[in-house]
Amino acid sequence: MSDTVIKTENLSKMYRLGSGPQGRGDFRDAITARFSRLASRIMRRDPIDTPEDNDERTLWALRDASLEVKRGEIVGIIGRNGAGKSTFLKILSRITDPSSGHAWLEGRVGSLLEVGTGFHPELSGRENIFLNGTVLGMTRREIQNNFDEIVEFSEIGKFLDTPVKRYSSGMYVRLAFSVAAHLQPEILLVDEVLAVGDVGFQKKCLGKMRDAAVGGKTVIFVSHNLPSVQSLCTRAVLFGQGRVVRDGDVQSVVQAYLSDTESKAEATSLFDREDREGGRDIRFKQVRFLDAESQQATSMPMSGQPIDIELTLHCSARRELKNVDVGIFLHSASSGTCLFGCLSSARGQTYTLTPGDNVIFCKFAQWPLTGGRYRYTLYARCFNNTVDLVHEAGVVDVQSGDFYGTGVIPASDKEAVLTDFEFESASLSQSGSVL
Amino acid sequence: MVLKHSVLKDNDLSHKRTYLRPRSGWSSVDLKSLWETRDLLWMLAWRDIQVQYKQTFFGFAWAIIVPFVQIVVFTIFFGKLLGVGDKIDEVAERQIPYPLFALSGQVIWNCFSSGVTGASNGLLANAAIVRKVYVPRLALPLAGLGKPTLDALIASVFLYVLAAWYAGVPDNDVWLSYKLPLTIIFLAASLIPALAMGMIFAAITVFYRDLKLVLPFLLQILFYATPVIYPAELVPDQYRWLLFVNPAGGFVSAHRACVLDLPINWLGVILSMVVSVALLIFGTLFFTRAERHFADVA
Repeated sequence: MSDTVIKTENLSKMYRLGSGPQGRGDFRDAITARFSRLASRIMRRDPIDTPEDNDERTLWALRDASLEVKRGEIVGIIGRNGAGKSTFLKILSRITDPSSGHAWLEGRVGSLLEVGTGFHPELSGRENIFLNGTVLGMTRREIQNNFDEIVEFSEIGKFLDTPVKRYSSGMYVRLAFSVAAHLQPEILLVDEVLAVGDVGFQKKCLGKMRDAAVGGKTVIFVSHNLPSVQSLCTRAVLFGQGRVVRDGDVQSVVQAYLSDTESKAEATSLFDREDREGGRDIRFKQVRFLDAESQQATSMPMSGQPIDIELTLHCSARRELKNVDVGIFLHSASSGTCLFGCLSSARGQTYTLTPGDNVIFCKFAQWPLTGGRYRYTLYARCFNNTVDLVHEAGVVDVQSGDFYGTGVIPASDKEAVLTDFEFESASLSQSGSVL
Repeated sequence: MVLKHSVLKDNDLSHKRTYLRPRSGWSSVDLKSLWETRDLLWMLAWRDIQVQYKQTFFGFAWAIIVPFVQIVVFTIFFGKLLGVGDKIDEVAERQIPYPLFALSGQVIWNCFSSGVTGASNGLLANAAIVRKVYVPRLALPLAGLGKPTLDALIASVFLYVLAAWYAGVPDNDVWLSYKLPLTIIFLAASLIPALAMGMIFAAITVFYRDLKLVLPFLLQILFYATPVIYPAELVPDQYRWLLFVNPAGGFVSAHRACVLDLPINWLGVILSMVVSVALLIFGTLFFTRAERHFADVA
């Protein structure tokens, strides 16, 4: 109907991998490629042109995405890494052309794919407000009119005339967000940008986005953060392998996403999963939960028991890789909230991985989760480079247990973390031991 | 019913509708959206200027220091040691001070060559923007002309002061010409081939970084192929037109003619202008054609 403000039909995007003018490459590659094509044509060695579809060097980042969005909707787009969410947003915001299919958007489009695009470290906060604002598509007059509001929202106050290179990262993000929050487009496209900044400020920004939708604006919001999608969006769309997998009300789509990741995790082995980030040299191959005493694998670790998590990493490089920081993060299965993470570097430990399989243990004297279902994310990095990152790598069911040794099993109506603590009263401190 | 519908339609049309579809081949240039983004253009040009001179001791004086040192070197080597100074006097049939001769060429050459460099860096220097926000991409090389333009204007002031100083010394065969204000027109004209070449280089550099290494080298060659430090008349008559096929050539020699009150070679200016405009049209189309892949590659 006339209320539709975004309509996409069979939107697709193909990338060529490797060298050549579309990928990274240099002149020499392009020239030799051209010559070898010419040579093979002359020699008739390769009479049949391989169709682009089946060429292993092409990747369909987005495939036949058709969607219709009405005015005032807040659409959350979820999916794993590489599902096509960001590509979809990039096409809608005109950063890149689709390879096939078409779309139209009605009204002024503002996109926020990154915080602080165009910020220059040498310039002051004041100068960057104008620079970033015009980069995002505002006119100088619009920025001038909103200037005081932007400064107030950002809470940077007296640092307004300080070069932003001297800002703390928090201040930087707040300033950048404040400019973006005052963008007044009819359609706002937001990528995973709320992941940064402190929680209080994030809430403020989410509130601002909700206000925008109430005012008749349309928001498309890509996020890994399921709780914020659930609290903000009126509709959700699940992407998988470049396609729209599911579209509907938020609860059912989030549920579909969670069960989909479960079945995926079961169907393909961890090692073969392709929805991961990082280089190709190091891959998590297996995760096992072991009873620390017997070293036997357990399918359901119990609260309070000593548990070792056995992480097997396969290194396919020819030489060893030093200083690898390994970690596992546990998330609530129902909400996706991260409960805690264990990074080896936090304990001052990094590992040298040798070609082949490497086994590393993450040891818990007392397994700290209450009974219920959890998901885990696996992460390995080398200095600041991610070498392997698998979101939703698997699930683990935890048995309720007597964590505190009091004979009482802690209530576990929600997935939660248990931690060791003691209570002590100042005046009666001795009474316990006397008794 | 019908009326209500049409009102609604009308309302919708007040919004801008953006169509997205695959494009291939040559396409038209969206000058309208470039105009709408003029604020961004100013901000980017202003940023380049700010960033360049922030935290420098001499600040804007650099726009004068650079040509000053250049003409000192040229006067010693070309003017005196290689005897170009005498050749100039022969050609012009009067005494022309070599420093003023060299500076009047150097100011416009610097404007052109740093214009080419600035425009061609426009995309890579703003790669972060190209990848994350849609802006009319033509604005990026265009904004790269901002700093060279300002530098050229400051250097022009220096040129006028030097010209006035030589004119003030009684023994000199130099006077202030009524053509002097025309230098601004030729400076502006030199930005046309600068933008054109900048756009072509910018577009190719995104795909092949090799061009980044080629550009300074090419400008160096072009410098000697342009009558900056020698008079055009030094080149034999039958080859002289080659100087003006070089798009900067006609403007450089006309710029100098204005300062020294020599006859302007209008044929050379027209030839350079034709080449420049042709380059600009090709450059814009080429850039627009390559533009759609920038975000995927940059």
